[in-house]
Amino acid sequence: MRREQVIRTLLFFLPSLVFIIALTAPGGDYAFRAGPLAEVAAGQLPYYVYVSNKTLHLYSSPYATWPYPKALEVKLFYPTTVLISSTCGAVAASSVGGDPGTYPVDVVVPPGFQGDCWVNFTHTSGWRDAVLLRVKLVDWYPGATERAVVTLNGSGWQFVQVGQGGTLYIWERPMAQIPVAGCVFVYNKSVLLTETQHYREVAPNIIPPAVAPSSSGSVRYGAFIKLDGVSQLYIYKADCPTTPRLNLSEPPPLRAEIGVVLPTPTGPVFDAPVVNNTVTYTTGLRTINYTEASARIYRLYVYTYNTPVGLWGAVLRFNFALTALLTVKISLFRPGGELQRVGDVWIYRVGNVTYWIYGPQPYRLCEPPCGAPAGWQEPLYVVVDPTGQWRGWPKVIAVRREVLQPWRS
Amino acid sequence: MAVLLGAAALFAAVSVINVTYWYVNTTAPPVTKYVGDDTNVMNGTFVKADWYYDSNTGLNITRIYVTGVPGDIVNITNALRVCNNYDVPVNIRISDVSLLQDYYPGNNYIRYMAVKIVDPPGAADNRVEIRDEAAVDTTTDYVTLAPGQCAILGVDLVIDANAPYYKTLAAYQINIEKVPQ
Repeated sequence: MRREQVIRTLLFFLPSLVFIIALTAPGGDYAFRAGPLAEVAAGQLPYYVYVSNKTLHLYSSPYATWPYPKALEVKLFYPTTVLISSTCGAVAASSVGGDPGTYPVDVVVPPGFQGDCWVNFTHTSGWRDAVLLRVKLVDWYPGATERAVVTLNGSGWQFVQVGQGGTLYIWERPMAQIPVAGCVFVYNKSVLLTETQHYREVAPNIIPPAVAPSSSGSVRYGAFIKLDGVSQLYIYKADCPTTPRLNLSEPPPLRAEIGVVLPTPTGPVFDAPVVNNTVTYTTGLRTINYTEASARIYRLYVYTYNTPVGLWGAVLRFNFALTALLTVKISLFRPGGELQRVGDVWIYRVGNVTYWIYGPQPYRLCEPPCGAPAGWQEPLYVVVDPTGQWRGWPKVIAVRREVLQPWRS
Repeated sequence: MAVLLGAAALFAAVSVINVTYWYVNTTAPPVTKYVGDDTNVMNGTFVKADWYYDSNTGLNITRIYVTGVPGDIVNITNALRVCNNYDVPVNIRISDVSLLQDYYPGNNYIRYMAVKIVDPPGAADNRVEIRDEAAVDTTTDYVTLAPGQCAILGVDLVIDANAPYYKTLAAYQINIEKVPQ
């Protein structure tokens, strides 16, 4: 071949070769670019994750997986796919890729994991990169940044609720104000089953508010704990854990003497309430029966609820009209038996059942006659114990707020 | 834009708050009740009165005891005096008679009882009445008391001859309503 033919051939063949390579290469014309295939870097991380080079200091939880959405980022400079694996099962995706661009990678630390965990990024070309996850196991609910620590002293089953405003209720009775309101309760190293129930004001602007269960309104999160002395309850601001629906019956009817004796021209009458309407609500943990009733000189707002722990409860709220009537008996709640005062609560014992009541004196005989009550009465909180095991409302000893900090800085 | 303006108009509001300050004061009652002259008969056997304080409601409750004689008619002509304290006329009446306590249910020992405004005269209906322990006339008409004037209330009683002696038979709530002019 002559020299000119060789030159002509090379001038035609080499551009054609480049063109063919560009057409057939998986990365197209990226095949001729210089530089790395991809870069791996930290992505969007919560404030409590400390990052140093390609080392992330993460937390794990004993209660559930700890998700770190978009914790890593893979910047692809080529239209290709990068394989991902981790030594602790912290990455669900096995690969990312496609067109060149930035791809977030979610990290999910398995529950109870502690130690070092490598997340490896590899490519068939031989390119590789890695990120080190240094994981510390902490007694904290995953994803939450703060929690309320409530120290309680008491015994037996207690039904604890937290309202959106941070009010802590125990058996519906407001007991304290806590700095963090949330749906996750951790007690005795366990995440508790919780319920969500709405409450609304049955009449506006009453002090203290006259509230009752409702299908809408402000939310309270509730859970049951079994106290035995001084212990701590942790409340996290986090989404509610999934709670299986328990099979609960309706609360027992509120069999009690309720009303006041009023004079009439023909003789004294007992002004008992007549039920106007009743609504039943079922939560994950309780069945609640809300009733509005009326009588000659008052309206009664009452709800009773059944629980899975053998106890049941009720809340009664009276609104009396202002009258000039005298009475000899005021029975806000009397299931029977003798009324006793124990500490700051009232107690009835009827057979094996004990009725614990917090609120105004539930039963009073007036000799000589006294005036009938007027206006809104303080609520009566009732806990009924057929088990003989309950010992009253616990005491709230301390409340504090804790914020999750990076474990290395 | 029209929708936006409409929405803005919906949320636009002017609120003017006038601050007021309410003093809660006290004054003397329009009338004062005194037990009548008949309390001096037999050292108050037939009528006497006292008062007590109801701490739960804060009310001051006057308690009047009238005594009948089983089988006889008793007229107490000066059981209670109600005197106008104000320097303006005050209308008074007896109202809302009702039975609060019946100590012998099933026995209508109080066959008749009337509480009447003996003085000043002139009311078309000047008495409330109880028959067989039930109130049948529960309210009188008003009478007007001039400043310083006292009304005199009397009681008529017929107690069944079978009623026990020295016992309380029933208790009635009887209000004395006062309307200053």
